Amino acid sequence: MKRASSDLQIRSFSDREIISAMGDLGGGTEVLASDLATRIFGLNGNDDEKVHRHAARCVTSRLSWMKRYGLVEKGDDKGTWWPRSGASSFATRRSGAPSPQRSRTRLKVRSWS
Amino acid sequence: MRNMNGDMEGVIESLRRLKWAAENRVSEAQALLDQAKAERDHIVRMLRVAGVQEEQPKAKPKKEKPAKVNEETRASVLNAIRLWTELGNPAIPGVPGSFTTMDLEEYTPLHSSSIRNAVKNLRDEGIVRAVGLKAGMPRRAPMVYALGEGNETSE
Repeated sequence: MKRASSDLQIRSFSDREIISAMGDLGGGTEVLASDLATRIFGLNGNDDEKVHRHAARCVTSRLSWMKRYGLVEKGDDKGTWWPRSGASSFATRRSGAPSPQRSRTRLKVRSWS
Repeated sequence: MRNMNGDMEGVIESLRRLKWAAENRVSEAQALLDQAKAERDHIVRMLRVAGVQEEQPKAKPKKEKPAKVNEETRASVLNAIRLWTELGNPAIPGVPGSFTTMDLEEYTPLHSSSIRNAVKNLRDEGIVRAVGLKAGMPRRAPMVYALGEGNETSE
């Protein structure tokens, strides 16, 4: 079954929102990427297995990038992730929290040569 | 004086020749351009007859401008969020105070589009965060939001 809201993409969510969603699901402990995908994309039992797998893959890809920036870590079990301790303060920071729009903006580097 | 007039005439004559030469070059280049365009159009027509669809250049997505939300609207939406949170009926079980923009419609006289814009702005400011889509909705699933920690309404 194709989702009605199939236009939603993982990039619509900021890192802060993803870490907060991980906190909602696991309370700071390990979270399955598939559970996170189910929460973010609002999937349910009626959705195709393919849709579930694709959503989990999208979330895993994003979490891999967040791992490079030190926001999350891989858990011991396959497909599990947990937010790093410093990341939760980033997630709950109020002022200057990065909006999804701003976090997607690439930095322009001026060349002085 | 006669000598000076003679010099001027010479200069003007040479400038006229230069202009004539430049005009000739322009007309030659224009003829070449027209010929190249005609060849291209002919090839495009042949491709079309052969059933090859040309790729149309994609339209650039318009940049979304942040909608302006006045202070009254913002305050009204924040108040609606507070009332909804106090009710203790979260849109997603396990996420206290989670709401959709439709949930807020009962608690504020504002139009649904104003509520959506205000929530979008609050999200950009980091006061509200997106939780995910509401599961089990028959049609287009609405986005569920929740207040971030250290939020405005609790102050």
